[in-house]
Amino acid sequence: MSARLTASLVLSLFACACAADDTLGGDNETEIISRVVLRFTPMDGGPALSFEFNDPDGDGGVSGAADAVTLPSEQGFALDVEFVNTLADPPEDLTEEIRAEAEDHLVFVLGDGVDGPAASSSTLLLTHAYADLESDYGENAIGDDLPVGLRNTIDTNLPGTGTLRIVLRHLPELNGSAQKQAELPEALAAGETLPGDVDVDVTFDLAVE
Amino acid sequence: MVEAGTDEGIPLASLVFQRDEGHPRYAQTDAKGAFEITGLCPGVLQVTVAKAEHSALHVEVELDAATIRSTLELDALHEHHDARVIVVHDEGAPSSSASESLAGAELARSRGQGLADTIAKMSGVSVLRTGAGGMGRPIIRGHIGRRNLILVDGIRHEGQEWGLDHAPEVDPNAAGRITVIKGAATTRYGPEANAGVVLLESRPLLRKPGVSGEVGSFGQSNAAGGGGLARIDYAPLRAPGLAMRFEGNASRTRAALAPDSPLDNTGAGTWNAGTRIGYLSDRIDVDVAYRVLRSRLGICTCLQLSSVDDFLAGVSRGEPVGADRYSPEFGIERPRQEIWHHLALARARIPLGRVGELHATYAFQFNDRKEFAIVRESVTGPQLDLELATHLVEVELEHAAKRLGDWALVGTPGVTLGQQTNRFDAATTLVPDYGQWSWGVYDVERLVRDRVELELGVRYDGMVRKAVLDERDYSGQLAGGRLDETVCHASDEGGTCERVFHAPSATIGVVARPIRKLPGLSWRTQFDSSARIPGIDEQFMNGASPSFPILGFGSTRIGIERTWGGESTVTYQGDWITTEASGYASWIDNYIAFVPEPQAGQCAPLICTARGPFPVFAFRPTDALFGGGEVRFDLVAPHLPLGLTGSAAWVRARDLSADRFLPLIPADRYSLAGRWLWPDTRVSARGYLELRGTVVARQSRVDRELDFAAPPPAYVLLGAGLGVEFPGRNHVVRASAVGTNLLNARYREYTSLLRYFADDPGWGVALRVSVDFDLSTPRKG
Repeated sequence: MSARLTASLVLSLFACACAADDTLGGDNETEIISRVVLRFTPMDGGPALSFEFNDPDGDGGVSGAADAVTLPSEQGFALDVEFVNTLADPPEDLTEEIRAEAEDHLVFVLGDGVDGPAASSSTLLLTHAYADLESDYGENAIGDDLPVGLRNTIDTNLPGTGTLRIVLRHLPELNGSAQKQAELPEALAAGETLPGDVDVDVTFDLAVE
Repeated sequence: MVEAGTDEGIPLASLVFQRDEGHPRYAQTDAKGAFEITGLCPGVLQVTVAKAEHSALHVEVELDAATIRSTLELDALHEHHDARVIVVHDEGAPSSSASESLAGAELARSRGQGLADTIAKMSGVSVLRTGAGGMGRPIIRGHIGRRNLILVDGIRHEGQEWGLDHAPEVDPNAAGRITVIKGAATTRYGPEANAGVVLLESRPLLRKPGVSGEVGSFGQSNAAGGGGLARIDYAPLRAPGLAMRFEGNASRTRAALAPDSPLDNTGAGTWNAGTRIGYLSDRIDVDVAYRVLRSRLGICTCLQLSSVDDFLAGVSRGEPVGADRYSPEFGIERPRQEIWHHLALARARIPLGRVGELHATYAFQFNDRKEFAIVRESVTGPQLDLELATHLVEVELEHAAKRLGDWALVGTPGVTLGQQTNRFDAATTLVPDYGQWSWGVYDVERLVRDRVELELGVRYDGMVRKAVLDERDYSGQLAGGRLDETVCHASDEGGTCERVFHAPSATIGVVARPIRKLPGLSWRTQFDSSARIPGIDEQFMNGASPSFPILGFGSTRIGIERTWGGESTVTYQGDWITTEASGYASWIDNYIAFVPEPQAGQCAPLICTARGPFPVFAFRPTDALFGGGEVRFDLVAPHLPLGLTGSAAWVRARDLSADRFLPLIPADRYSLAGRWLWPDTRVSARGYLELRGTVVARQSRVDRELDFAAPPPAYVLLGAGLGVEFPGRNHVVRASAVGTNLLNARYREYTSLLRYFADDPGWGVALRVSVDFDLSTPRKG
């Protein structure tokens, strides 16, 4: 009796192991952001300027790299920020997912030479303002109708060099209480630490010419 | 009172004498196993005997003379052996290393805890707290995880050992005895046992017809929750030799509370079930078993790993941002781990007459680990999915004793064969899929005479491991110069790396009772040279660490790690004192250390990622020196109901190549407990009240380059315990209450992954009640 039982136990578990092998190479659900694209569209017309941070192997051993952002001085731009998972095949645009969960996300724009809700720099190369609201992307169900930061306006000032840092924070509700609050950009500008998780934190060299 | 089979006296066994009417009376055997009870009336007397690690015994004694001398035999609860094999009984110490065991009532007081916490009371053992459901990993003499082997009923536990936050997926509640071998035992157990071994042994099945078992429950205040367990052993009268067991337990706890804040999302839910069926005859002893573990462990929201800036900001605040939103609720949200672990085994013991006896084992384990990160709502599945399937076959011959003059030679040659397949599924790279075959040949021989025992062990282990890297993983590691191109080759879908390892080990040890007139004094010394095969992460890790905001890289050029160690232990067991002192030192050649590695590029010396610059740590071989010692004592005041136990442990570890201290080495630890043993009453026995103080020093021997924060200050913890047994005719009710951190001290443990952000849990009380029963028919005495 015990021999028969051994055989059936062993067989059933072998079957379990084989079933696992069959799915080798199957994709896991995830949402790695490996490319960040900044698209500056001049307010007064003209071709858009694109700059990107790219980390083609994700958290592998090859370092990511960011383009140098070069903008003409004293000009207004619409800045669209896009997030892409290039590790998926074909690449996956995650900006759409962030729009769909606009109430859980906020893009911060800061850096040396940047002024705006999340930055207060002494040298003023450009000024940032949010140009979107959660309600632009769907129903505003939680709290105030806050900016998301996928669309922004940028006004460049006098020439100079500095840095432009883009931070995307994931701020889902925690224990039923909203983590995304109106004062977060100000708090970041004041050097305070913020709740939530960092999805993106990339820094570009900035030159206003 | 003697042990069946060996006829050795059993000291400190509890006896209950019960008449059909009237109150029971109690007695305890002395150091030689003798007892005397007077003033009994003639008639039939029911006698119940209880002793840890022995089966309970019920006998009826007919009192028909003024004085009766009776010898009672108690079955020892170790596995059955052929009489020819047992020359020296493996009672207690399983090797010439220092070891410590937990069994019986002492183990029952740990029910409901994880493995690491269950054994952390032993000197030289501490816990690496993971932040997942309050679980931890044991640290034995400063070594964590991959250098410690866990054996469940003789089967080496196979889980994802590489993750610092992966608590071992074993159920300590199913064990009847847990033994920790503090020191190398590679020749006996394999290359992973180069620093320590945890042995979990089930109670043996019933060998005589009857029904016995245990039911119990526990409840605790911090983390609030509770659970229950049940075990039934049955040996049918009509099928002699057949015995079976069914057991299971479940627990559910909510998040733990630190003195100032809940450790948000550290709730845990775990259940285990198992069965074992055995058949014993003169010609064969076989058993098959299956057990399954399921756990869901919430990971503390306080662990902020998404970026280095956030991590460091939290460290400088000493608490995570948003802690005011933390709650101690039951829900187990993301981030969390979900684990299944299956173990099936079949084992046979076949007596071979004068040759000895053959032991053959086959085991299969399947470990399924899913890890869920905080992600956008559209994603519902796990972010990391690991499936590890392991087959293991072991055949060993316990050869019959050979007489060599005054000496007897006993020993166990054996062979093992294992096959393991790991499947890793995630969108990021971390560790690759792999398949490996491992094999081992060993022989541990003991030369024994009355007061001296010499042990000599040799072992050779080999392994061939083939890792399958996907395109991105392979090209990234190749570009980083981390792949050895003599063993790695590109393929259509990436590349494969195949490497063979050879790991020979040897041990020589002596156990002696050097003074004839002092038989309680024993001395054991061991020298070993042990080889460890690198883990999959040490060879191939390529990605973000699950425990720290760092990227970790392995190297395929890493070879075996060799330990040259020596240790010595002196033990004295007297009538009123048991004391033990151990010292050890080991030099580890090619110790695989995880060290920072500066990077070139835009973010030098860090590496640019989409979540900001991260430090890079890499596995690099270095030379290391470990040393330390433990002292423990257990005093029972003669003629007074008072006891005192104490222990101390020290570990020192240095990276000799880099001339700096190694990280995650436990701080010096001292513990002292006073115990009042209250007298037995008409209904209760073995009652005690205990007060325990633990002092843990600040770990001052650290290298700040290897850590994100200064070590936490020293701390003192106060604990208390209360326990009592209510023996009946065929059952014993055990009740205990244990209080921890009763002063609600704020403290942080150096070896806790939570210490950067949160205090360890505050005060708590745990209550446990269990009933051990034995419904076997009383034997006639």
